[in-house]
Amino acid sequence: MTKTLKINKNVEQGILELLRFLLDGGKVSGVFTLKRINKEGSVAYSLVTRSDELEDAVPLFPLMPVNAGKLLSRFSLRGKSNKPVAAVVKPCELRAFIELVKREQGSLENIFFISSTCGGVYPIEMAVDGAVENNLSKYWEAVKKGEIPAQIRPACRGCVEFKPYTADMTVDLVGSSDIDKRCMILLNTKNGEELAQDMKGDFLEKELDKKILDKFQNKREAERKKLFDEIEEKMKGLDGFIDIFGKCLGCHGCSKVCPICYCKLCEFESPDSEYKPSNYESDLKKRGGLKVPPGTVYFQIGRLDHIAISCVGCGACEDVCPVDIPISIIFKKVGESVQKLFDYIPGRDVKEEIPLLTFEKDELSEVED
Amino acid sequence: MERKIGVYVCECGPNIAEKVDIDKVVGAVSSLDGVVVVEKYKLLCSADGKKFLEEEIKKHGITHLVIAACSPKQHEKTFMEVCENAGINPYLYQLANIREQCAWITEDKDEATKKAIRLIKAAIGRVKYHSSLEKKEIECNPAVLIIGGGVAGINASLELASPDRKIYLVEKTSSLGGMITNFEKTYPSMQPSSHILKQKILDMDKNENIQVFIDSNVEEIIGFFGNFEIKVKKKEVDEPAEFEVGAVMLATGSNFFDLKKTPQYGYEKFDNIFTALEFEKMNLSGEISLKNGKTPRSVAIIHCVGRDEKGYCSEICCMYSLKFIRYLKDKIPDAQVSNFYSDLCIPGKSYQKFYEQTKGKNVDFIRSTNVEVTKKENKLSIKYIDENGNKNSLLVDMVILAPAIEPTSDVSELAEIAGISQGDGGFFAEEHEKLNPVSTSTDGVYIVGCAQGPKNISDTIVQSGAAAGKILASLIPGKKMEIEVKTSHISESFCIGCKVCISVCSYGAITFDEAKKISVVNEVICRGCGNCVAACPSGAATSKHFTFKQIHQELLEAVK
Repeated sequence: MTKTLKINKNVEQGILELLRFLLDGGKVSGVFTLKRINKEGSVAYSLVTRSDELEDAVPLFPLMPVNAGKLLSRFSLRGKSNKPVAAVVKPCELRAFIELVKREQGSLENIFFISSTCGGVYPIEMAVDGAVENNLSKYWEAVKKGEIPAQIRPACRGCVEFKPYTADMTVDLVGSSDIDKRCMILLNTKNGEELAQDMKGDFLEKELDKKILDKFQNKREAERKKLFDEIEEKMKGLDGFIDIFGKCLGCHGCSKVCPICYCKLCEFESPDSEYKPSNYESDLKKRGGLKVPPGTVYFQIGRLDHIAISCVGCGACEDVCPVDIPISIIFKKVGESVQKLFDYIPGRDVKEEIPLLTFEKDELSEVED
Repeated sequence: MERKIGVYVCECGPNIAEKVDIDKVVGAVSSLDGVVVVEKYKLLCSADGKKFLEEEIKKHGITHLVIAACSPKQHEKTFMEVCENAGINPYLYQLANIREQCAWITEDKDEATKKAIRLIKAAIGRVKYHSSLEKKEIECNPAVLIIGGGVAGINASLELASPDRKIYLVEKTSSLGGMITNFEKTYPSMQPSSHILKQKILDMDKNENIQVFIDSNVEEIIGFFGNFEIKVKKKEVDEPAEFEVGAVMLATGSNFFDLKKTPQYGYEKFDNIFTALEFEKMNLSGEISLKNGKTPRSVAIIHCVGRDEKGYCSEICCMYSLKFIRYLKDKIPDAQVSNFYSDLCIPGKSYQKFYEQTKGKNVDFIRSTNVEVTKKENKLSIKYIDENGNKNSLLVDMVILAPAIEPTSDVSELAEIAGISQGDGGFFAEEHEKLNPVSTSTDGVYIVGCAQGPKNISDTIVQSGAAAGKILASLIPGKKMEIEVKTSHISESFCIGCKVCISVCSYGAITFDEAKKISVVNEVICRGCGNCVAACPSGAATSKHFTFKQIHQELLEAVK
């Protein structure tokens, strides 16, 4: 059983009360959360140090403008945070940050994580014309019932990692029918317990409802299978591959928003990757025709090769693709199959080494002789 | 600069010419872009061949050279020298192996010829992208740190010490000599072991180029071949001694197998059961006796104790057990000595003779399994299964156990400090079991004697001499050391500081610049293996003689 804080308010209000309590009581110096930017439904991550600034905060808003893992990495890249900060993030954002920390791209020190069981997020395009706002009540109805909300990101529809692994606090959302009336926050760690101490509310012992979440998981798994089967059918052979990736413009937007693509200068954008006249000549000599700019498919394969082991399947890449390539499903499918080989779930545990950097003794026999 | 590529195809006598159609090869590559001359020659590595090449390079003004001949293992260096002599940079050349990889692996002349053409085209494709690399030399410190003051360490110290080469010998106990100091005599000569040691220790004392640290441990070894920084800590002294050396020799010896793991031999449960080392010490004290002061009339020596548990034969136990029979016969001529063994290991030119001379009256060799020692009245009972599978037993007064040799308890710690790995049985791992048994994966760190694996005194001395020889040949006072040219390089602007390269570097050649938050290659340590290049996600790491371009072009031509 896990110590749990029950606040007798609706879940959004409950979280805000907790955040205010943490700031006002000096338990944290800052809060990292989503805040509303305008009435059309645009939100952005913000770092807040005064509780009156929390007015527009929407910590559980079903939108991911940028994967927060990427932002927290930039926040702590040049050194750990000097003061304690509470960050409200989605499970895949937390996992992305853990993967980045493993690569020295950030520090967990002085950051406390508040996450939740996650119903998924809407594509960013829905945040510009009020579509998210109009859908919010339907979204929460679906989450309450443990159903998959309509219109969310494809990656979210098929996501089975909707429970956070290493959060200090987990908000019980999915399948929790009374979130209109109360806010349940599981205090998973000692830090979580200490932060919530003296907070107004009831403290009880509780677990997430396994039955409800298993049911939800089954729905997600069925959805995932559908998505994977579809893409497998479409991607058959070189023709299928070119059909799908041939559309790529080479804008590199997917790599810009990918939390795992952490290089400052991408090799694919370096002068080394630029075609010389002799490259054009030799390619054209062989094939007689060449898509321009060249190398867009190569870029996708290269990126897939680089990030497959750590892809958390957040779906940010597909969200920004101007030509609607189903990148997130392809990357998720390949990523999960690679991760399975090493029994690796990206972001599960910061102590778990990236498979590339470690080996098991019996693996050696495979390469001996 | 215009590239003028010269291609020279070696017939290697009949070795290549018989299986590869040389004229066809020459024809196939002579009109390729950039190639100014293609010639065949009977034997390019001969004195005449080298002279021919030199003249050709000068005559045609060749800037890039391709040789199609044998394995680079055999003659890569030979042709690099030719380049140097002819005045072109030795890295502007590529060797295509058309002997081992073509002529010698098939009976089909057509196929061999086709492959030879591909390999040469690949070499031509690659060589165009070669860059000149300059040889690099560094100053080095000729001093040597030797860890372990046993016979190996002492011998190496004396071999190496000279007015221009200081030796630092670190011994963790309070005196020099090591294991041998416990032995009265050594096999097979049965000469007193003090003959081997005494004079050497006196020589050590007199030699002012040797500094001995007793009761001391090495705490830190940082650096690389030619320039190691050392910290040595003496017991009960706060400040460690610090000094610099160019090479390190680990002569840390071995331990005996822990008999608690084999309770069937009754050690420490019953009286009058001794380990080999305890027996050596008892014998050295002058008297072999039982606990009650009486002289043993019957003694059992149990060989191979712990062999199954360790999974290897410790090489020396059979021979020292034979020596024990001699000790016993010297002091108690009518004693009955029974040896329980599973295999006798008595190799070498003089050991068989020693065995024959030791056998005889009242000495039994019993091949046995499932040996067990229990107490029966005031004697010890050895139960065993003999060669025919029958259960048997024997009553004796005294039992001597010959336990397996295992690494010292601090072996892992030392391996980490010295930056080397452990191999079979947990002993320090050699670079190559046969070709390089005293070197390790870290340049300038050597392993000798029982630290490398169980061995007798003469083999130990051979190894310490071998390692000393390697040091004498490579770490010459006043002379600079040539270092690897084909190293890796990490681009400052591309590096993202994820340290992936540091995790995969086998040589500890990459450090992290905390100020810039990027990885930096120490080119003195780097061996150019390319691990970091393969692992770097941002393409920041490149290998100087294996650039992406070079490999790409080579592959492109090879599979075209």
